[in-house]
Amino acid sequence: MTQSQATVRVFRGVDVLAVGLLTVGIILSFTSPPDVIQGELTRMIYLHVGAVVAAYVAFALTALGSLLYVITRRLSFDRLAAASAEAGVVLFGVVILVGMIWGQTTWGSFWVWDARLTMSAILFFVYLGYLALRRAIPDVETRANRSAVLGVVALAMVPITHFSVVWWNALHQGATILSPADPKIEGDMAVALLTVMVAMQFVLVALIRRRMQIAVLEEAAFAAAVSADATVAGDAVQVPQLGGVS
Amino acid sequence: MAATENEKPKEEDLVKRYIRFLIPAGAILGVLVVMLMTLSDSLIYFYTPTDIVSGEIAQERFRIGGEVLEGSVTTTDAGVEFTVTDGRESIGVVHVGAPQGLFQEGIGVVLEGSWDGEVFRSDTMLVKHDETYVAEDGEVYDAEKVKGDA
Repeated sequence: MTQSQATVRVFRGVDVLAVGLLTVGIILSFTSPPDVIQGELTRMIYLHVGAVVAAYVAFALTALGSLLYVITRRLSFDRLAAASAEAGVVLFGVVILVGMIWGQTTWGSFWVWDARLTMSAILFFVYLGYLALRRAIPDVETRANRSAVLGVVALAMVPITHFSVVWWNALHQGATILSPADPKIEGDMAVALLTVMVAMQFVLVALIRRRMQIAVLEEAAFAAAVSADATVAGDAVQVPQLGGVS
Repeated sequence: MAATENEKPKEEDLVKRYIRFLIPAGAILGVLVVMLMTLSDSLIYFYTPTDIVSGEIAQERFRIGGEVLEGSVTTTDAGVEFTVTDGRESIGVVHVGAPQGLFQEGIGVVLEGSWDGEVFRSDTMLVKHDETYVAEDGEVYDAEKVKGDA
């Protein structure tokens, strides 16, 4: 697996941007003004919303990779789908965790079964299910075929989750940045939030790229293990060996 | 990145391949739609004062949501009393227990309790903050944009 010099350079740039922008974002998150009502608690928005946008992008990449796999049959697209789903689940876990802390401190409850939280939970478990499905199928192509179906369909949960606060009366507040009307956020806060949101996209790409590299190694290692175990024709008449197979 | 893959195009029937994708995908989507339609009613987290006044609520115990009317809050021995409004209708609330930390006039609340015909007797309070974020100098806040929405 040789990558061109240019590709290596691009991904190095992504790493640098991820670390750099995230550092700037963290600094801005703590220097932006507190909210009038929520005070310092409002700082949780930066990680909460920053991570959720990256998670949604990751799930979209899972669907895209799945679809491209079905069309082209190139396994690298299947790896893109798998790596994105894993990164998305991690990011969405962060979203839920931060959201619960935010909820406890502002609403007065870690968890309520309103539309947004219910849909988020379903979304989270659907993608955990996607990862479990992948674990359940050893054959590379069968796995790619079957998980592609779920990888595409699961994306439906993303708009459902996002618009749940519009469709049903929910405790969770509506969209601030992605709201149809003007963004309802003070200037410095908006800059901090946008910085973190962009930084998280680079973090996402860096995560996905590494996970895809690992997937190639995993498949190679698995294939090697399988071929080592496989019975070769004529095995039964093999001459006795010293030491045996390791 | 593709050097290790075998990418020989399979002599597989294209139609069959897409059908094997589309049928399970359609089935899962169908399940999703049924789930959402079934869940839809129970996903309404709270009713509004308008729902109460129009007498649409059948349950004994339910949640209402709205905004705490400015100037309506009085502290009692057992908790707080105030008026909740959704912009159209307002109802009185008798809340037993300590209010949430962020509780104040003008903020959104979700209360759990029952309606006795005159006031809503609540024992559980959640504070619902809205989607506006404002610095102390009040750059963005727009009090008129108080939405009776979700």
